[in-house]
Amino acid sequence: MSDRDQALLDEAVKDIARLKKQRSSQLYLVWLRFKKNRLALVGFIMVCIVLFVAAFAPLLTPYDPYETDPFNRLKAPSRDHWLGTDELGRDVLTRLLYGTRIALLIGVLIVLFEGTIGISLGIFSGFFGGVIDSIVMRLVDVLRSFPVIILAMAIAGIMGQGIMNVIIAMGIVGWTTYARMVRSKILSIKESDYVEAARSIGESKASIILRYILPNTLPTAIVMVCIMMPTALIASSTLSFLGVGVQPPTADWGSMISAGRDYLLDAPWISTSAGLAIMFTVLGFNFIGDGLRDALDPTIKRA
Amino acid sequence: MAKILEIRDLKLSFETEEGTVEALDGVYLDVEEGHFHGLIGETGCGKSITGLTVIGLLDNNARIERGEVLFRGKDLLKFTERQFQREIRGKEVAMVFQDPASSLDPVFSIKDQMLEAVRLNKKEEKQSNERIVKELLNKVKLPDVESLLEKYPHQLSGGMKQRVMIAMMLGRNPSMLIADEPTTALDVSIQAQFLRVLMDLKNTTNLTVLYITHNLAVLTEICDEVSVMYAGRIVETASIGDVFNNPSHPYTRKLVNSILRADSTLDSLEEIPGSVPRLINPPPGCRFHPRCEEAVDECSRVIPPVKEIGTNHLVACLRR
Amino acid sequence: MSKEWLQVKDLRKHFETPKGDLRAVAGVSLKVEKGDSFGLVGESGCGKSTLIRTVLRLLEPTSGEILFDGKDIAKLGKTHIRRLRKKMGLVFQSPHSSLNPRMTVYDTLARPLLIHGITKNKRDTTIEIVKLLKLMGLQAEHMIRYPHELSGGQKQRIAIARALAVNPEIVFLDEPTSALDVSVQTKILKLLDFAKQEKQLTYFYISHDINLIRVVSNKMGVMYLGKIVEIGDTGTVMANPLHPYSVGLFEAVPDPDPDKKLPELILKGEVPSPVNAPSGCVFHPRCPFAWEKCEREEPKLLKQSDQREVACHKYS
Repeated sequence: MSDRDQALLDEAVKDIARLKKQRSSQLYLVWLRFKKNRLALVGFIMVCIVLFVAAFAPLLTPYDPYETDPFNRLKAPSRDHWLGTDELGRDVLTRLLYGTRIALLIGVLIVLFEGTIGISLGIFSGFFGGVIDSIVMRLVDVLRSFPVIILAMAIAGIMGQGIMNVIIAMGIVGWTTYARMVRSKILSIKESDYVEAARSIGESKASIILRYILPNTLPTAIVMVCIMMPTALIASSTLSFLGVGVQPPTADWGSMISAGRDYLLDAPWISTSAGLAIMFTVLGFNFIGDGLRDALDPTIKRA
Repeated sequence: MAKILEIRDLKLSFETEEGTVEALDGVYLDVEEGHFHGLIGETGCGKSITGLTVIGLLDNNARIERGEVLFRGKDLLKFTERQFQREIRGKEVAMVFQDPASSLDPVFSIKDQMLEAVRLNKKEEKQSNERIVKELLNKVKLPDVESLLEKYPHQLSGGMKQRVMIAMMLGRNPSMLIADEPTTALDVSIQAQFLRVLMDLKNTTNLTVLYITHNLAVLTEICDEVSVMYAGRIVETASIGDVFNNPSHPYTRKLVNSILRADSTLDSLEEIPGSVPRLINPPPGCRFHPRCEEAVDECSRVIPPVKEIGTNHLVACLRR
Repeated sequence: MSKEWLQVKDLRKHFETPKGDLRAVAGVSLKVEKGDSFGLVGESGCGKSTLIRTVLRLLEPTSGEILFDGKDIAKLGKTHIRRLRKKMGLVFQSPHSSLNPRMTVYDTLARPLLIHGITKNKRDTTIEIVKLLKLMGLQAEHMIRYPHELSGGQKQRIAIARALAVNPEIVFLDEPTSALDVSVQTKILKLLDFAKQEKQLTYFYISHDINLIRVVSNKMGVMYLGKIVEIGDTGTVMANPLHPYSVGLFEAVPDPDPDKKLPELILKGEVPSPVNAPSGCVFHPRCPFAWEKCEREEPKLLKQSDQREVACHKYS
């Protein structure tokens, strides 16, 4: 009997090895589908550029983003300063490159913060329903009726200005979007045949969440993060622009636009270049988000 | 009898992300005027696409590579969207789909929708239009017509909606009806009621019906001829009696013997090995050859031509 | 082993809706003996799916008893229900939705084995899975595939393998072939039959397809609006149905014989809503033989012979 079992096992190993050779991994298939979407690929390259710049900013420029130069104020773009200088004589390109770091840092932190809260509350709310669901969803309704910017300004007013408070303010409102999306996804998964099948073989609640619901919610969550990232970037820039977020002299796109505002007619390059940098990054993430949405769902065969 | 519809060597493909789907590959189909013609095949064999081609409702990514679709001698493939809308759809050819709910407008009452359909045909007095509507609804044996007229689609059951669709279609008096799995979503007792309505139309009018389904048993109740479709080609066309009692193509034989009937036993049922091929890179030669017990070498190389093996009995198989 | 091995007594399952109580299962009693293949036939909305889900305790029964192996499982607590899962399997209608799209075949089949501690290590699990795949006519290589890489027939075979993995005593099959093409239907039915012999299983089929039930079952019931109207040996019931609903239902089935044409219809009108179902006999508004007693009094399932029971005043 055991010999026969061993033979079965050997055969299985051989079978699987043969198939594995012919077959590409699931991740690779996702990448293939993603790659077919031109815009997604463009977005991917754009985000790679942004990441590269953030990582190697000091190597890409000879200037220091905080070193002022009173003799070279508001200089137009030239060979020395490709994007000109600002009101304190700092190189705009350098500040732009360093600004990438702040932008990504804030973006990632906001998304992490609101994503963690939102996704976990969404799961609880969707899976357990009842009172928990009612409480969470009413909270979502209440928070969503708050204007984010004014809430952030109020928080800054109470706790003082700074990056951390921007993140907290954004997170307090931002998680609601995740919670709603994840909850509705879970509600539909919960009703699915495969979850009922899981119950019929005796899976525990924890196992159903971990093995059946979470993996099927993951693509939604990943796409959400990619779509929320640019929203977070724009919001944090807006707050910096309004003076409640990142404070000068930190090299930040929002505050650069704000500072350049006074010199818009004489030195338009300051605000414009920062604005374009925001646009570039936001577009990149948006393209990726759309591409991922299509690539991660093998069941949707688009024509 | 004249042929109302002749499909000649129709080849049609779809461009998709994964490649070109060769959905129809050399389809020949003749439908006699006044006959009920069944088109049977499994999921994805191209039977619905054949119907949609006739009524000009193909998706944008469909590409017709060659062939003709002659309706009363006119090639529909040369028609523009405008011509389809003015001369064919509803007026000459009507279509009924599996899901009647999607074909009825949820915000208008049955009366409004029926009147609209009748008005499209001829402009007459309101009173007489309403009379026509009631006659039509009686024709499809809908009970309690008066109260039905005031109802909205969501208040009707699937079977009733399907019959309203037929009544609406009759209002425009087309010469041909394409029915695409009209009873698949219905219960057997409701299906029987629906088939009865079609049978009455068959006996009282000169309507031609192309009945598309995967359910051979349904076809035997109402059809004169049946065409069997497999992976984008028609493999056999014959009278309903011949398909059942004297099937020729190996696929038809297997299909007929795999249907559950009153005297079936597990042993009497035949199975077809393998599964329906995908139509991206379909098998060369005869598309059924990988699953066919009678296949020889040649079958994997040569596309079998259509042969007439008896009166009105056409088969596309090299072994016949 | 008592003869009454699975016995359902006056089982009810009501759902609350804004329009009133929806009586999906309105007092069903039936018996299944070990080794039987029981077939329950009825149209959509008759409550057959709800019935088996209630028996499986995937839904909470409103009232009634479910005796299984001498115990009333209608009153089992949570921990006991989990043990029950090892004895009862369920196969769904659509294999396209009943398999977790993010689980490989290996994981899908390994879960029931691990949950119930049938295999202890990876080697045993793999061997067991290969055996299951072989039983279903599949190869070991299918283990590392995801559902979307399989055809409909293959997916259904995996779903059946999952139900059989724990060596259950009874398997409930909810329209196991109706989402599949005819050409693969036979394969599935034969595999199921083979597995039944091999593992000495009891089957409980539900279907709207009378001909399917005829082929696969030895005992059958006809369900209408939450009630069983006729129950007995498949041969007896099929050959000579007594309840007017059974007669009409069997008549309505299209016969794939071109020489027989549509019969005169007995079933007129539509199935009424199970919310506020008709009084007395639920079938009376559609019944050609109904008289005033049918409106007033609910007929009980009465024995007509050793082979059959019918719930109709005509036969009482």
